[in-house]
Amino acid sequence: MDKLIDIRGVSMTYMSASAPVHALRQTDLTIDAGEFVSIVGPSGCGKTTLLKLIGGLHRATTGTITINNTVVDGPADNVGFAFQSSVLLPWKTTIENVLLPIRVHRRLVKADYDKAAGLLNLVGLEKFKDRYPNELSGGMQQRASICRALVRDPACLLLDEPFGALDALTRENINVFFNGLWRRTKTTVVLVTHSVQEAVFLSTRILIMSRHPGAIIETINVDLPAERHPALIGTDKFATYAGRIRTYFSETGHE
Amino acid sequence: MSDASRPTPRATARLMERYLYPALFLVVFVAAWEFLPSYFGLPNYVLPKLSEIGAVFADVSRYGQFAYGTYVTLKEALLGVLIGGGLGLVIGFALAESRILMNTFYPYIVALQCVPKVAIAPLLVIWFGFGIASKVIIASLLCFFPVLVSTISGIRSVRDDYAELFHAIKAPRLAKLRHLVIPSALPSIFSGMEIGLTIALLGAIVGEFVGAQEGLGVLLMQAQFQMDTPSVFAILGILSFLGIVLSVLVHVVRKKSLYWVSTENDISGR
Repeated sequence: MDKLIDIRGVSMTYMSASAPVHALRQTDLTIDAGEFVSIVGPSGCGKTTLLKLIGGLHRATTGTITINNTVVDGPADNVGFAFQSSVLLPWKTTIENVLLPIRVHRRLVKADYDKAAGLLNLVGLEKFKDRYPNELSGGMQQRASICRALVRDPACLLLDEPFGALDALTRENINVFFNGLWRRTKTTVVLVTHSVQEAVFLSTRILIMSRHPGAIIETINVDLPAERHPALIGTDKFATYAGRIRTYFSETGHE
Repeated sequence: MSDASRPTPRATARLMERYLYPALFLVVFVAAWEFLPSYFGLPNYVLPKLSEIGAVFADVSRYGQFAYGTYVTLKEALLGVLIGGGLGLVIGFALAESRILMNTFYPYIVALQCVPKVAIAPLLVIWFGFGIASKVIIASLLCFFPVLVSTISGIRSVRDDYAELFHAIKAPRLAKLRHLVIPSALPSIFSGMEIGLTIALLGAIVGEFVGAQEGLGVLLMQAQFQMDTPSVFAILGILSFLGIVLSVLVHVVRKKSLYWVSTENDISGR
């Protein structure tokens, strides 16, 4: 597979009021095109920091990150971001929100609307494209925000716990749906999550991070078929993966 | 099934609360104003009966006077809103968008805000004369500050997560202003405009008290000199009506422009 994201000797330190805080220790990582990589770890382990470094929202203290052999120096056009909250603008309709990343750069043309409508169709929101965000449920809002992240055909999708605020049932549904979306769009995905189950269900590879300072301590390749069904969650193989990840959590939790 | 169409006792009680009680209060209030002054033997230059105030409005020969006064005062107030509110808006955006401007000028603006602006009305009349200009300036000055402050606080109310989204999609400054900053600031700006409008009307009238040839404030002073209290009340009535019409107007425009803001926190709890 082709190498898409390359992270070499990247670390991040920022000054707090009293002392420097090491948010991320020297990290080396390569992500291939088409991969679905999840980053799991306890709160404050630097997973969001790592994601925002890849997306160019933070600046690394040392090291370089390249996407498609281009050095990341601020937010790039070929990256789509989705955040913890859906961050849909309440004064714009769903389709206008999806089109926002294009609209801020140029006037919209018919092809843009077709593109956005197609994405909304893909996530089952075609009937809601002219509604305002406050008329959408939490799960619908997150799906719309993922459409917005996809509207510029990004080479990779960076997701910062986008399903964290959803209830368990909605979350399971959206995971199944998201697996389908990933297979169809063939986008590379980096997902930050608190949920072990979500990580195993969606990923081809899982990175486990620890705190003090934030660092990747283990990489687990998930050897399951690309198409994932809810029934998978009950299988022994699934439980084995989930169990392996949880051991790291309990170890790091006792620090 | 027939029960469904019949209003429940609770619904009836709520309807009474909404319409009957306020109507009853109005009847009692009107009756009291009509009969109590003579009952207590108050002369009509202290507190005229309601019907005497009504008689002022019945006198068609005074309509021209009232209409022209209203026109002058309203023109002064609205020009004040246009100039003062417009400046408040523009300067508010400039200050909120530039840290250097903010640091340089904001302390002085705060200091100026503490000056009782109505008190400089006599000075403004000396400088700009008894015509309309001095009143427009007083109204502008009064309207400027609430609009300025609400504009700045509106721009600062832009949520961090929205700002991060706009950073992530590399939105140019103008696009950010148009799609994020202005819509975010609009609710606050409208609140400032609402206050500014009422306060500009106040400024126009005070300006007319201090020195003017025409306007409702002048008519009010003339009626006072002649101890024509029914006319004083009549003019107060016109002024109150003007104030109500203006705030209803702002309210309607606000509702149309801020279609995404829910009106849950409406004071009447509807």
